[in-house]
Amino acid sequence: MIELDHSVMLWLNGFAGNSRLADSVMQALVSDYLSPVLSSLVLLGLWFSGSSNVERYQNQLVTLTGGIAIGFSNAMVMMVNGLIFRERPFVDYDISVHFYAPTDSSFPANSASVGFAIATAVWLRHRRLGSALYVLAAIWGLARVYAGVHYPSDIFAGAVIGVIGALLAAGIVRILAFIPRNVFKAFRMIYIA
Amino acid sequence: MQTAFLIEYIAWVFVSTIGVLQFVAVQSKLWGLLFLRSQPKATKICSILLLVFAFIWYFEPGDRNQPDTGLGLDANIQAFWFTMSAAAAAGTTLALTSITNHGWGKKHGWDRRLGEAPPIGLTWLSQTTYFHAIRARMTHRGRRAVDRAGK
Repeated sequence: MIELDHSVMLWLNGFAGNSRLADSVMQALVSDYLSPVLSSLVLLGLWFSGSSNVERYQNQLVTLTGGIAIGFSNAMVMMVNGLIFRERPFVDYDISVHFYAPTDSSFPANSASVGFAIATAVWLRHRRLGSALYVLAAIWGLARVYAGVHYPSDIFAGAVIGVIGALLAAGIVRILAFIPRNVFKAFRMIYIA
Repeated sequence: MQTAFLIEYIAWVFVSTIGVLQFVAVQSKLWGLLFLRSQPKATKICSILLLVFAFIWYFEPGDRNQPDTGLGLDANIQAFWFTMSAAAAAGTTLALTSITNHGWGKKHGWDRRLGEAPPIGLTWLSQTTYFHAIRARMTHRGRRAVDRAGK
């Protein structure tokens, strides 16, 4: 299993450095900014979208769930990082690196956990938009393998953590629904919700 | 140099947020949030172009992959400035569209003389502007306070 993990990483990383265009596209995709900002803009857009206050309230719950999901998945990644330390692929192998050299644990990928947490939070209510965000999160993860900073299993574990974080967040939002209901009602009084 | 990196990030989020808000406002028929209220199709196209422009502007100059121990922004700083910049963009949109749609927003269909509370929520921005909505709410609250004092 570990061999397969390493082989897939080496195979994907083997494409790096062959084409300047592919490398520059991957450099944008792999960055710490593109995918998180794009996903956050979707959450922000959902806050304002809807044709009635009821529909908008449901969308605002998605925004809230997304925010909490990011917090949960980050916390879970930190906990796993405290238990397991895995070296980055560029430390284990002499490969081409198309990213800065992170010093923290490779496993699990925090980027994947955040991407998949937001995608799941959105997917629970908006299947198409959520699926698009899953694709974006998966591309972000693959780009990190291509860049030589993660193994595929890091991405997979991060994705699982992100999904779990989002499901937990959705459950908590549902159980404690009276809190957002009242807070959002106050926001509606000043026309920001 | 990190300041320049941060300012570019803030500017990127600010412009992108304005694009997203315009797009969503057209989709959700929140006419009071539009800069070009009478041109919804053009607004939709402009908002997409604005988003594309903002992303190209941010990533085009070169490598944005900087470690957060150096030029880059760590996740917490990024989240903080994203929130600040997005809130500033939303505030700017609410203020500017209230000014540009001032005349249109006056005919919002709520009559304070009837004594009913004005509608609540963003949905009312399909009929009026943010400033008019806030003013109506404050007028109503003031009137209720006067009524209570009179009793």
